[in-house]
Amino acid sequence: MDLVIGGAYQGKLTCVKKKYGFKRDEIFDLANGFPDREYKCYTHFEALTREWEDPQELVRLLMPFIKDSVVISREIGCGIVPMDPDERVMRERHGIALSILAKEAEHVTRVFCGIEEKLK
Amino acid sequence: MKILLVGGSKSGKSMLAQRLARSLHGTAPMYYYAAMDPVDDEDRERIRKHVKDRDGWGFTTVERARNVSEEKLDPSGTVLFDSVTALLANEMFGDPPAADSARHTLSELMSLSGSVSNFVCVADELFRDGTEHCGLTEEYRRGLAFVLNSLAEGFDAVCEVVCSVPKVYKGELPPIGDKI
Repeated sequence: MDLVIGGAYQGKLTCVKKKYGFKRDEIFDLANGFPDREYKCYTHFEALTREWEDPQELVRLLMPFIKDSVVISREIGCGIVPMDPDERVMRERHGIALSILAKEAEHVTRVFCGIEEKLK
Repeated sequence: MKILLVGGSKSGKSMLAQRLARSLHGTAPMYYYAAMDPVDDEDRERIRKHVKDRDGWGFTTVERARNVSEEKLDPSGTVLFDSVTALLANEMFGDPPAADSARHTLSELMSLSGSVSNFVCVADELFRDGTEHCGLTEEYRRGLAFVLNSLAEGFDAVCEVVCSVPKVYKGELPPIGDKI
């Protein structure tokens, strides 16, 4: 599994499409919930951490689907700590989930201004 | 040479931009392009600090909040543009707002940067929080990312500035020396 992270609108999906050549039906948007089958690429992983309370459990259940794929996620842990307690909890568990994914990933890449940086 | 510097508040991006401009300009004119349209004392104080920081450096200051490519500059000159963040805000939230403000801002910056020999511009990093922003704020953020990603594609060097240290994502920076 490869993990691709970056801030909002940095061009993560564009970079992934260019690098791996995925077609539209090979990409699953996790904002639609849990995948129904295996895809080659998953976007908006942060949408799942918003819904799932336990990041360990989330990654464990997701792993059979994503083990040979590219997972794309927004980085959301920087900036002002949100006033809303639910938002605080969410961004913390997102950070934990990304660390678990990064540990499992073969490659971790960060995208900044549309440019890739290899982290692992 | 065209350079994009992106960094957080007080990351040292403006000072780094000044040093890069000084290293690039040779004997040709050096322009400090100030896009911020001050609205209160805090803005005016920030501008005073920037003016002080570049005192004696030899910059000609150009103050222009919108339609920045309309200024006539020496084609052999070097421009330090501060900042893309301010320009897009002026174009998007000005009276009247520019139609398709992100595309307009990009085209103005491409035109301005193409009219001089060297162009160093700075922008703020606004993309790594997790907050759900209201409609216009999110539209602004998306627009800024569009402008920056497009500039990054065409520019020679792209850096994130962290604690005044450039982290180079693309290209190479000219030597800036130790002199402040």
